Amino acid sequence: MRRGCKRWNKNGQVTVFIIIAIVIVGLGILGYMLYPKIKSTLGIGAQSPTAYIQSCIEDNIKGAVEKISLQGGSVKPEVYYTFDDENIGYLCYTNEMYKSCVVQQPNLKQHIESEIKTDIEDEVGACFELLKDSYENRGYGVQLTEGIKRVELLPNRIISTFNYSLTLTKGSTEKYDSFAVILNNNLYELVSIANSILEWESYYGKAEINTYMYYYPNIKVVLNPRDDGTNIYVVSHRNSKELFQFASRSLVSSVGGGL
Amino acid sequence: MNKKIVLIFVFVAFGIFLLSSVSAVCCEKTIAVSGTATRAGAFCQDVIDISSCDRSSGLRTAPTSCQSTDYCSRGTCVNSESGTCMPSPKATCQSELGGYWYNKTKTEQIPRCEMGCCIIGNGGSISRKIKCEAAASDYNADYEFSPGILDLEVCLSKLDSKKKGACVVETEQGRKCTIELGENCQSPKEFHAGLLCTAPDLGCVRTSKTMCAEGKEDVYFADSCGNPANVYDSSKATDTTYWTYIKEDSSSDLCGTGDSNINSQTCGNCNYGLGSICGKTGGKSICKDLRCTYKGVTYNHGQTWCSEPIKNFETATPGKLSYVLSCMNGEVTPTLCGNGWREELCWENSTVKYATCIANRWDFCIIQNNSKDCLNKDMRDCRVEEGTEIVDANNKEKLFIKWDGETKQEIKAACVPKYPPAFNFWNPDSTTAGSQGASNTPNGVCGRASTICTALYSQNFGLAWTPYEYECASACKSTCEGWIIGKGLCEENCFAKCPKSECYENYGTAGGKLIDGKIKKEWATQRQELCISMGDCGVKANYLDKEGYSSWKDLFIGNYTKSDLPNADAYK
Repeated sequence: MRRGCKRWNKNGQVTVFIIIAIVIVGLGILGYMLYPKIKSTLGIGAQSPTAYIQSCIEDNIKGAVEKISLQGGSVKPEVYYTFDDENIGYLCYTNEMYKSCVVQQPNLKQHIESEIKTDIEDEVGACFELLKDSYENRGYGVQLTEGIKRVELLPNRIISTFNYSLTLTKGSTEKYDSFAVILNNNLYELVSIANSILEWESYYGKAEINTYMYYYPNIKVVLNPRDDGTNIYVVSHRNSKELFQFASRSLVSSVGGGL
Repeated sequence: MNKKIVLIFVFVAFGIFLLSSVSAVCCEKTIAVSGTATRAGAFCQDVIDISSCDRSSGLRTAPTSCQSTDYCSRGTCVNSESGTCMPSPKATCQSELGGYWYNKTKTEQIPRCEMGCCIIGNGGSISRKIKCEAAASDYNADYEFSPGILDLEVCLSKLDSKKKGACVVETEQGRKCTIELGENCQSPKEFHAGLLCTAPDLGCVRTSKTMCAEGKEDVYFADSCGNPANVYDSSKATDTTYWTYIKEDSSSDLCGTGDSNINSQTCGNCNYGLGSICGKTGGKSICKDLRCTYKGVTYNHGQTWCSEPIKNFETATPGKLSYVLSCMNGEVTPTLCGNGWREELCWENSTVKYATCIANRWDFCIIQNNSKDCLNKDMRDCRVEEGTEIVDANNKEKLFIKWDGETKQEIKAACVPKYPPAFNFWNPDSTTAGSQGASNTPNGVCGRASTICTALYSQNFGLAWTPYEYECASACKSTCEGWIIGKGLCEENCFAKCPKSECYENYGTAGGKLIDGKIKKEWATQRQELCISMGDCGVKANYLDKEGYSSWKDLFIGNYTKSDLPNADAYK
């Protein structure tokens, strides 16, 4: 009896532990899956307006930056070379042989900033409208005034500032005058290298890409010469893998036909 | 007298008319026109026809070259915000994007665009003054610009004179310490010049961890606050002095000075010039190897070499291209020479492991008529192909002079490209331009090796001869025409007097019957060699050794016995 009792105890304990473990894991998975719903039901899902705008716009900025970076800095490049199904904008171009190219976009950094701003404009408006609706639905008095939008390429980051004025009233009043979305990105550094390559192209044609890689160990530059004399440059950051590519056609000395 | 003036006036006016009718039109912006090479949307392009210009919304055109216009002539677009001085026309230098246009083609003539040494924070570089100002503003740091210093080493040596030290601030959590330049550590922060944050009482302690620092090449000891201390040296792990005072990275008494210290477990004094830089391997910061191994050969960081020796391009096959390979950060990167037409080839100095692309100057080889000009290495890359010749439009052989020191000798030879160029041989009438300005088509280039060989052969069992274009043969034919008896003998005697052709064996008799003339093997071989030396011409396998779609019998057009042609069935 004693012996049997001892035996039952051991097996029973193991079974109980296994059941408890399964229940804990099950509850964990359930909790993980239902967390967003629980969160909103409990009301803790309400982010601050600043955090909401960051999360709503960040992906749009990322998408715009990626698209623009692949197309030589423009959402819709006017003069471009099609390579791997991508329309890569010419930043320096001549249609002639043996002539140096004409820089098409001498204010490249500002042009890119302006292109990003234009590309995200609709989404920015929509995000602020959603923010307004969300607070109105929760009983806030909301006053939203549209303001100046600004995108800045800076070292290691892109800052998008929206000078929208938002006033929330529910008992007390909260006022926000500006919203900033910060994206960690190396486009500033890549564009600086691109500008230097363009200056070289406009004087001497094909750039000496190894020099850039030697002096900037984090930067990789790949040159893809095409058969009509176009050079496609891909400037990338070795760690973040972010890239900026553009086309140039300068001092073309030889073509194999089909210009 | 008056008549003369009128005539001169008429000629001048006519000349101006002619010039204006062929000279360029400057488009401020182009539009797409089918059948032209001009791309739409490009600013400031010289085009042949005004129909290529976009004339909408006030865009300008002028019947002159862009350089002669005020809106498209080259100047400099200066942008203070981005710090750029970009050569560009006024038309693209948009003021709404911050551009200000100067009518100066040499950027250095603009004071803000001059080059010099730019020191920002702990880093230095050679840049324009305007870029230095803009970058300092972007990094929110002070800058120092020294015009005229164009040597990076001299520039970086100025950094050492800037004194760094521990910058300490009291916070609720305790003393917080970072390494800063004195000028960046202002009151209420305390600055301790020349000291590390691990110096006594400055708030941080030493650890056994190592780290890389932004913009630096060495591996550093890390302190408990996450600051880099001095360069990692395992023998100094517990050395209090080494953990108290800042030691400059350029100090000559650091461990492993003069070595790259690649993968060293004891010393973090990396040397970028010798091929090492701080990097993480297996979670540990060490001097990472930047060398590359390619086909069993080790190359240092920054070294370049050719994908294959330039000599291999003397017998280049279609698709064979020349690349410069470079070793950068442990990675081998190929860069194509030229744009894929072998108009540039890789040249290498194997002693210093340096390679670069040089022009393949083949364009004007074929028109050289003497060995001195043909082999002038300062002007072109050609060679003399002896035993064969180029013919003119009338199929007449072109003379070739061989210079042997002072003596001249007329020989049978042609000047051909030393490195046969590539072109769109599959599109034989497309434009092909060479590195020296010649413009041609694949048909045109390959066609220079073509010739006509008039061969005699018998027909109808030797009763008639055809073709008769060859002068002497025609004469023989007329002589013997109408002969009923002894016609064969007449022809035999007559043709025996005709000069021997270089391209075919004369006919003869065998068993009392006339036999066919046939192509001379030596001649045919020489023509084949001439043909393939012109470029991607003739019968060749491609660079993957895949056969072409024409054999020699397809290229030797006419009536002849195919078995007489060397390699008649070869497709490569």
